Amino acid sequence: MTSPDLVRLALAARAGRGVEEERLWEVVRPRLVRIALSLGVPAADVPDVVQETLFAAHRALGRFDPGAGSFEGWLGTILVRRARNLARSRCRRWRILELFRTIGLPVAARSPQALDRLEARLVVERLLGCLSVSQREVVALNEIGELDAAETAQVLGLTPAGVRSIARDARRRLAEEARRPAGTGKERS
Amino acid sequence: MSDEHEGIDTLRRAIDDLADRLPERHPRRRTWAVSWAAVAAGVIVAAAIATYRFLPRPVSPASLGVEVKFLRVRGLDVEVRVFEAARAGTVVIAPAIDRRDMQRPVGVLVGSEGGLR
Repeated sequence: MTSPDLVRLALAARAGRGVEEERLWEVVRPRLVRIALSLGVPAADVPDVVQETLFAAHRALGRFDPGAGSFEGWLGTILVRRARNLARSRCRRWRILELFRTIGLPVAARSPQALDRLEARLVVERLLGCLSVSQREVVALNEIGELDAAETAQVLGLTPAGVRSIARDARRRLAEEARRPAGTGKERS
Repeated sequence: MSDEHEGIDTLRRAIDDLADRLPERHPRRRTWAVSWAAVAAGVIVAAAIATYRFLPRPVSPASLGVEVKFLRVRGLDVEVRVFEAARAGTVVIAPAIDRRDMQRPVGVLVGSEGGLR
């Protein structure tokens, strides 16, 4: 579905047509899942983050202004904010758990999930691990989410030239990491 | 150029593979929501109990298991309401009249043999 089609669907949904809104979320969901994964959101948390993004978008749909940017960009902004919040809360949680471990309190390990064993998850983690946070965000929106440089720049508060430059560096890094045999490179978070 | 896109293509394939295997919504959140709902319900119940226990309530003789007795005061038999003993050897009484504002408990000593004085 092209960007103008999405805007038309969004405007119809905004006008209060329930069927159009259902269809709208159905269409955008797969792309949001891919963007969330490439932002570095853990696979087990992606369905929740996407669901929360869609819920926030549903509540704010009345404020969507097609003149201010594309619908994908508008959704991307919500998703990036949610992913950043999740990363912050995970960081806080991790610090608290570390504190618990330091003082000797037992901390239950996360239950193993089927996703943890997936080869694809390991590949995604390894490749994203070689990127900085800003590179991940640019790759997620510009490359995976297929927003153009101007839209990506608007979402992330950068300039289009900055987005292109960051994307170029990120592609180079990813290419190097992809050529390197798994387990031999240094990963960054 | 194709070399530069090798990494991004690998990432895209892996993300597509992973995305296809993800459930619509992870059930963990529902479990969490249920847990939080249970905790919230517990807090509300505890707050309600605390409010009930600690908020000052108007003392009504009827709420304390009243027994009406006659007490001789200065040669007159006065009808009084007798309450449970606040501590050993005492009871609390109130004038047994219909005006609610007068039905405030007042203390009186009870002899060791149990009779009212």
